[in-house]
Amino acid sequence: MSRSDPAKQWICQSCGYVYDPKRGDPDGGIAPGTPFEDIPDTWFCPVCGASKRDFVVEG
Amino acid sequence: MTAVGAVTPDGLTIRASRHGPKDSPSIQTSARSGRSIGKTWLAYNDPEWLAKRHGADGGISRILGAMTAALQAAANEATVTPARLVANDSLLARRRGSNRSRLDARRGRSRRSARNGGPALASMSVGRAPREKGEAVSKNAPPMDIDLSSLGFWARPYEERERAFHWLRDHDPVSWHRPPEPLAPGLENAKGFWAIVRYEDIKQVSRSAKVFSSAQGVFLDDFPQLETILSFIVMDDPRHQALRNITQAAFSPRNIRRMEQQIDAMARRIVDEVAPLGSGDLCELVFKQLPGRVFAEVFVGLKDVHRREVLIEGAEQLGAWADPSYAHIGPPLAVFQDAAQRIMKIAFEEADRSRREPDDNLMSWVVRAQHEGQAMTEAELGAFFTLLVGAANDTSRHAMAHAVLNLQHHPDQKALLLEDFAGRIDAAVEESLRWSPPLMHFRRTALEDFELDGVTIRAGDKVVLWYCSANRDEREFPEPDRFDIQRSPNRHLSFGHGPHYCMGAALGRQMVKSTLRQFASHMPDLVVGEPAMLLSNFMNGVLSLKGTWTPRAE
Repeated sequence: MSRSDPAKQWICQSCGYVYDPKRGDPDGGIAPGTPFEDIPDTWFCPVCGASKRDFVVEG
Repeated sequence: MTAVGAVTPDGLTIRASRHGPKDSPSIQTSARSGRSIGKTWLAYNDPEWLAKRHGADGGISRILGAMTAALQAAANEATVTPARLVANDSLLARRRGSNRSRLDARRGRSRRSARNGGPALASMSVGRAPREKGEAVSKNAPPMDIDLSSLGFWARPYEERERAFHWLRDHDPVSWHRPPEPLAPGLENAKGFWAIVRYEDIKQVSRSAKVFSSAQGVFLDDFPQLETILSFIVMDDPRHQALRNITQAAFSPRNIRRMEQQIDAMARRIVDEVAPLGSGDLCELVFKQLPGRVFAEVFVGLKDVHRREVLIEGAEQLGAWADPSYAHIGPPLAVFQDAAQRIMKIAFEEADRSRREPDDNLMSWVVRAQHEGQAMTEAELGAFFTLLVGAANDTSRHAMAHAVLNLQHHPDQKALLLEDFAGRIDAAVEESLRWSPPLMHFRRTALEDFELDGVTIRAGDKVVLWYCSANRDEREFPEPDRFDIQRSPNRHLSFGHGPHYCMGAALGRQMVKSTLRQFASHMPDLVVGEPAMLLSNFMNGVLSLKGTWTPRAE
């Protein structure tokens, strides 16, 4: 899989939550600045609980 | 007491009289055998409004006339199409599976529409009003009269309504509808609304929160000053997000996963109380109890049983403004406000207690939380609490009832679930939520012109997002009319989408899961009857669901 732009935002197809690499998800153990691809597969959407594979690049 | 009566050609006896709650008019209907079919109260406590709507005699004579055709239809459903019920301006609707006659007490609407030059109800179909506007919708006629503004439409069975939505999705995905009837005397719903019915359209509108505002109301019905009752769901960002953030962590999937055993244990205690009974109304015994206890005990620290029951009943009433069972309180607006006031009274008292005796619960957190640099005012706190009570309690209980019903109606799927409960329960809950969303719509208001499916939605237009339709959209879900507990992906919109995605989704899912688990373990031969459904254009609610099971020794 080719890496997308690490600054790109990713959107949860289930609830619409947007993962912004600049913010990360500190409550979920994801430090600010973490590109989406570097998030572990066990991470899930902090709003609806969908899995990482339910996210797509926004836009 | 006065009484008048009539016998229909089918032998149904309709008897109307003035007695009952507040000396109000009631309608009693009986079959040829003399068996009572149902009784409905028209118990509005505003005589002036009653007279205006139903005539100087309280409407008895006129109601009788209008009810006759409907009763005939209800008694002989096989030969009369549901469309005729609406075309006859039926006042009577039947709850799904219930033999209780239902009275649509809101019939003034169609007369007003005709007076104002609008089309008569019988001739209405979709696209009747401005769709950039006056353009033909489609040469394909709808299978029935689709009048989303009429309570008569919402009295039809769910699957029948879905056929109407199916037609809209295929032929008129952005359709204009007349205003719903007013919620109280003198409170007119001045504007009609656009109905958005396709999955992708609803997602697009939901995500476009800068164009489609929640701040002017979130229901098809126009409640005045809704923000003072339902807090941040009636706000746009950044205020919405700021208030939501106060409690978001408590309801996050991460936190709810931590609470799974605790919720399971509460479900177990409730089922332990109920299992020895052998029969009863599961809504009262279980479905209302679990969310009520979880919210009151875990999140609020409320141990008083009476006050907990007030919250549970208040939550039910809050979502039932149009149902005739609450008409004795007053018009729909009064029903809604009365519920909110009772919930807020407890909110204020509990807030005081939490300030004096802070604890490690959500209420103590909320009273200390800073919003825009300050603690919430009493009014803000009351609205915030009312929203949480309504959202946490009422939707979850309906989701549980639907899950039990859906599995019973699809025995092959139930068997599949029981083969591997732990492995399939998550997907089964999702499919039940898709199949029977507890909430059928939320509304937005356009802040600027917006093109959708070739239709121009103008700034100021009301836009209603029909999640119940999105969940059956064949453009998203293969074989959408098949109940499949292994469906994957299953990205239904029962919790909405975008910034207003339901904050309590994880909690709701967990409570359904815990309840089904306890039923499977401790009431495995549970059989439920036909539900009594709430009459509502908003809440897909189950008022009552009687069940039987082999009593288990205490």
